[in-house]
Amino acid sequence: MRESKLWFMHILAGGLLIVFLGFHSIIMHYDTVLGYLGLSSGDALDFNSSVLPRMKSVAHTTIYLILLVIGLYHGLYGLRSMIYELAIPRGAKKAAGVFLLLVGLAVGAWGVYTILAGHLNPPPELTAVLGG
Amino acid sequence: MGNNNNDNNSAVKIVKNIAFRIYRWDGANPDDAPQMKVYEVPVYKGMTVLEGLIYIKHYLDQSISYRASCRMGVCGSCGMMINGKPLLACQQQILKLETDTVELRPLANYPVVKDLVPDLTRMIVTHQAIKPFIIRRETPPEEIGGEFHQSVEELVNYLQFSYCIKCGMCMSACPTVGSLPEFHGPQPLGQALRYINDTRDEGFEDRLAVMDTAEGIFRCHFAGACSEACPKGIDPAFAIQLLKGEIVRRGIFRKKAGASAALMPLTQENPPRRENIPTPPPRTVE
Repeated sequence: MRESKLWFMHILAGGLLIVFLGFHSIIMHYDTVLGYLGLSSGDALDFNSSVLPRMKSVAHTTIYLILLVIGLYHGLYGLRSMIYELAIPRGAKKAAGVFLLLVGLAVGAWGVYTILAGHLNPPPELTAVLGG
Repeated sequence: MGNNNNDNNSAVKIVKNIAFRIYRWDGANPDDAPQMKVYEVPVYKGMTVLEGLIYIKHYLDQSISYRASCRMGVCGSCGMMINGKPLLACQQQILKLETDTVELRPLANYPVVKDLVPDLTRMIVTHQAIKPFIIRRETPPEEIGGEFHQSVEELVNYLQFSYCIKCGMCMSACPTVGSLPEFHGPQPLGQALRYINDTRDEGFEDRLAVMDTAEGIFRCHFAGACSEACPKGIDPAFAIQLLKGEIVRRGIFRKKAGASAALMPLTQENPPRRENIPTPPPRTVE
């Protein structure tokens, strides 16, 4: 693939990360501020009342998957760029690029499995609490 | 001047003596360690660093090597690190540096041939690779037999980038060139935009193959040091960002380039070429 496409996806992922991480920060860490605005839905870190319903929500699961993909791509492409700017042999750079691709695929697969497992098959004791 | 410093008839008035600390190393003897040699130079108002070097060469040490030609900031030969900054020696007045010592080193980010002479081969080869000439798909420019129409706005789109004198100082200032020798660097990339933005040119695809690589244009971090260093006021850092946008627009979104410049019709206001106009020289680049 041409470098321009990889770079453009990196920029695009960066833009999306600003949006998604912005929402993440607001929802997870600024619940007091949300409370002042009358938008708080309780303790965002409470597992049973907040975390688990988010895991079961299709919208949140989709957001987690998008965040996983764009976060991994943006971070690993950035790391690859740094490696490519080192004064090391070209073969070592290409090997590092392939290694990072494999790391990305492996971590991505693990992350997708974790997100989908949480969504499709939440822990039984918690399912009981939620009445699912 | 050298033997008449205190001569009352001297045409110039010596303001003070300045120490020139100059990098000395000869590529012919690569095992010798580089050293900084100091020369005392009598300086008059308006005297440039290049004139100081000429003084040293004439009166103090004929073995010193530097590159210079036009002495007026046009040829781009005398770029060197002056007190740590890439500057043209012919444009930099010594007293304006406001130091008692002037330290001269060869341009950074280049191999050294001897003393203050850098080896610019890499920049020239990359510059050649981006095809710095008008490319026409159908007919070579010399066979067109007319002139292209270009509006003032179209000219302004590339004019500043055509002022490049290939001094190589932008490459010397670029932090990415310093760490990634394969990076094309601001000079060739700025020149790529100069031709891509020219409405007479149709060679975008040819240049894309050179620029759009892992070590190509996208390694630029927009540090802007190249634009700061350019003695002709060109903004290669801006050119590279425009080029990135152009590559994304045309390479990814498949946007078409604007219409190519049209041939001017041969009318009374725009008559055919006179017979006595000499033919252009043969092409030097295939």
